[in-house]
Amino acid sequence: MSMFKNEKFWLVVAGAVGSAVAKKVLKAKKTRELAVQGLAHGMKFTADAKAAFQDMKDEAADICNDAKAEAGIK
Amino acid sequence: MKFRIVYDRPGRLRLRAGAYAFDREYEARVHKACVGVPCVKSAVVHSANGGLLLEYEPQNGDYGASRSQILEFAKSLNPKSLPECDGETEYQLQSLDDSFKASLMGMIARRYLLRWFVPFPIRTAITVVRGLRYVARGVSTLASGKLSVDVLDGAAIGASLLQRHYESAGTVMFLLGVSGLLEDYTKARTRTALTGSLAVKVDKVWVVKDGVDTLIELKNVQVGDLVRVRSGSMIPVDGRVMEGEAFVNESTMTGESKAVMKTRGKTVFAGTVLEEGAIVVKVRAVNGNTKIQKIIELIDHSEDLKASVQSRAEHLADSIVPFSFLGFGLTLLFTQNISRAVSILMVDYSCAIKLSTPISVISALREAADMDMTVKGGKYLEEFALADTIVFDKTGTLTKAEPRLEKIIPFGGRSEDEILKIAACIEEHFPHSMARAIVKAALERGIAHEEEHADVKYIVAHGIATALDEKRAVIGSKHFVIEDEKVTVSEEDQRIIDKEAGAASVIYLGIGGELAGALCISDPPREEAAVAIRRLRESGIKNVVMITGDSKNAAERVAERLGIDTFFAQVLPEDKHRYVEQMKSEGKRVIMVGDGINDAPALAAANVSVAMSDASDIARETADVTLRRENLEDLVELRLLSQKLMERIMMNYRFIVTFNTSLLVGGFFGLLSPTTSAFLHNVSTMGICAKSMTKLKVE
Repeated sequence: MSMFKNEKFWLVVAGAVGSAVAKKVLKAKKTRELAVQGLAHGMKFTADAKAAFQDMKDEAADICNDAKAEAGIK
Repeated sequence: MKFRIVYDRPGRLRLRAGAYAFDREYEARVHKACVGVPCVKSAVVHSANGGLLLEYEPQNGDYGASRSQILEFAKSLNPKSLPECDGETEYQLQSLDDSFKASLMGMIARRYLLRWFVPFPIRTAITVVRGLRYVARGVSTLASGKLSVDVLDGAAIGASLLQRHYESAGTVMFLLGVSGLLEDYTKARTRTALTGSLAVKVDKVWVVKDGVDTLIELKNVQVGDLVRVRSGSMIPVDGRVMEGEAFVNESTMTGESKAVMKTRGKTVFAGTVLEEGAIVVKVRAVNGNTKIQKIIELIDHSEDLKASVQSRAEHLADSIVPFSFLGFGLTLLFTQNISRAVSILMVDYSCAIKLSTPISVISALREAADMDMTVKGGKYLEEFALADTIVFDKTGTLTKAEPRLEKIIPFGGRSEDEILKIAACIEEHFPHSMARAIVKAALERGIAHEEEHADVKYIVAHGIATALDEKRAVIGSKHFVIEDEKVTVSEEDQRIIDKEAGAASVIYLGIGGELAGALCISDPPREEAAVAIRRLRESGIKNVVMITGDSKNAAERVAERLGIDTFFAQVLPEDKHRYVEQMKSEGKRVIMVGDGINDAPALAAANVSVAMSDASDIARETADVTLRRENLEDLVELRLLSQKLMERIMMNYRFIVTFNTSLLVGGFFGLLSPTTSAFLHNVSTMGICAKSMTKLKVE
C-alpha cells in the first residue's frame, strides 16, 4: 500500500494518463480541424501582410517618383 | 484579369489585381507578357499583391494611345494561359535582388525577435544547435587536411559555447551569416548576368518545303531543311546558302563590322544578322550543335574554372588561422591556463576581414559603375590589379573598326580631288563600309559629285563597273580591276602604290582601260590608344601584346605606332585563346581586351577580360568587365581603382590584425575587461566596414 503513498508513483501514473489523453486529443478529428484552420488563418494572415507591405512599398515608390518628377530629376 | 488602377501618370501606370491574382511561379510569365507589349519600356511584377508597374513610351507623341493599349492588354491577361518560361534576365536579376533583401531582413528580424520573445533556455538551445553546425564544418575541414577560416570559426564558436558565452557565439554566427549571404548574392547575380542573353533568340523560322514557305518552331527544324531568312533577321541555324544572295553582318562571330556578301554555296552561322537581301539556307546544325553554342560551352567551362578561385577575403583570413592556433598553443604552454588560451581563439580577426572585404569590393564596383564600367565581381578587380600582361585584339578594340580613307594616289595627270569625286560618285550607290569611307571623305573635303555616269553595275564581292564620258569606269579590288577588267598598270605605278599604301587596303580606279588612281583605306587606331598603353605601363603592366587576324604588315604598323612590344598577326579566330593560355602557362597574369564573338574564348581563358563598349553581345556577356564608354583610358582608370582597392583591403587587414592583437594583449594582461574588449572589437568592426563604404576617389 505504501506504493500509493509514493509521490513518484502518482507522477508516473499521471504521466501515463496524460500521454494517453494527449494522444487521443491529438488524433481527434476536431483537433485536426482546429489545427488546419489555425494554419490556414496563419497562412492567409502572412499572405495579407505581404500584400499590405508590398502595397506600402509601391505607394512609397510612386510618391518618390512624383517627387523626382516635380524636382525635374526624372 | 480584374485589376484596379492605383497610379496613373503619362509614361507610368500601376495596376493592382490583389494578393491572390496569380502565384509567384507565374511572375516570370506575366513579366514576359508585359514587356512583349510594343509600347512597354519596362515592367515590374509582384505576385504578393498582384501588382504590375509598367513604364511606357508614347505612340506618335500620344501617351493616351499607349495607355489604352496597356489597359486592353491587362484586361485580356490570363496568367494561367501564358506559356512557361525562365523569365527575362531583367526579371531574374530583380527577383534575385528581392530575395536578397528578404533574406537579409529575415536574418536581422529573426535575431531580434529571438532576443525579445524567446525565453533564454530555448534561445540557448537554438544557439548551441546552430553553433554545433559550425563546429562540425570546422572538424570536417580539418579532417580534409585544411587549416582554413572554417576551422577557426568552428573553434571560436565551439570555445564560446564551452565557456557558456552564448551571446558572443550568437553575434559571431550572425555576422558570419551576413557575410555569407552577401557573398552568395554577388555570385548569383554575376552568374545570372553572364548567362542572360547568350542563346539565339529566335522562336520560329520560315521553312521552304515543295516551294511553299511555312512558319514552324525553331526546335522542330531538322538538319537538311531549307530555311528562308530575310533582311534584318538573325540567322537561326548554321548552314549553306542554297538560293539568293545577301550581306551578312558576322560581327557577333568574327568581330569585324563589315558586312560580308554571302552567295550560293557559302556558309552562314547562327547568331549572325542578315543586313540586306534574302537567302535560303540548308540547315547543317541546329540548337545545341551550332558554332555559337560550341563557343558558349567553351565559355561555360572556363567560367567553372574561374569560380573555383578562392576569394581574396577568404585567402587573407585563411592566412591568419595558423597564427591564431600558434598563439593558442604558446599561451597554453606558458600560462598553463586553458581559459586564457581559449581567449586567443576568441579574438575574431576573420569576422571583420570577411565583412569589410566584400563591402570594400562592392563599394569599388559601384564606383566603377559610376565611371561607366561594369565589373562582374570582386575577383576580377583583384586580377586587374595584379595583372602584368595585357592582350589587345586589334580591330574594334585598338581601332574603331571604321575604315577611313587615308590617302589618294592619282595617275594620268588627274588631281586627288578628281579621283575622289569620281570614286565617291560611283561608290555611293553601294553603301558597304569601304564605300562609306570614300563617300565620307568626299563629304569632309566638300567635294560635290553630280551623277555623270550611266548605269551602275555591282559585281558581287569585287567592285563596280559603269560608263563615264562613254568610257568604261571600274572601281574595286586589284583582282577585279587589273586581272578581270584588264586595266593596265605600269610596274612603276604599282611600285608607287605598294610603297604609299603601307598597311592600308587599296581600292583601284580604272577609266577607259587605264589606271586613274588608287585609294588607300585603313582602320586607324583609336586616338587615345597610345596614351592609354603608356599609362598602363606606368601602372605596372610589363607586357603589352596585340593579337590580330590581319596581315603582319598592318599589325607591325599599328604596334609601332602604339608602342606595343609583342604582336601576333594572321591568327585564326579559334586560335586566339591558345595564345592567352600559353602566356598564362608562362606564369603571366593576363588581361584580355576584345570585342568580337571570336574573342570570346580568349576572353574566358584570360585571368580577367574586358569587352569594349561596342562589342558583340556574346563578348560583353563573357567578359568580366565591360566598358560603356568608347575610351581605352577607362582601362587605366580601372587599373588605378583596382590597385587602390587592393591597398584598402591590405590596410584594413593590417588595421584589423593590429587592433585586435592589441585587444588580445590587453585582455591577456588584464588591462581590458572582457566586456570592454568585446565592445571595442565590435565598434572597430563596424567602423572599418563604414570606412570601406567610402569612395576610393580615383583622380
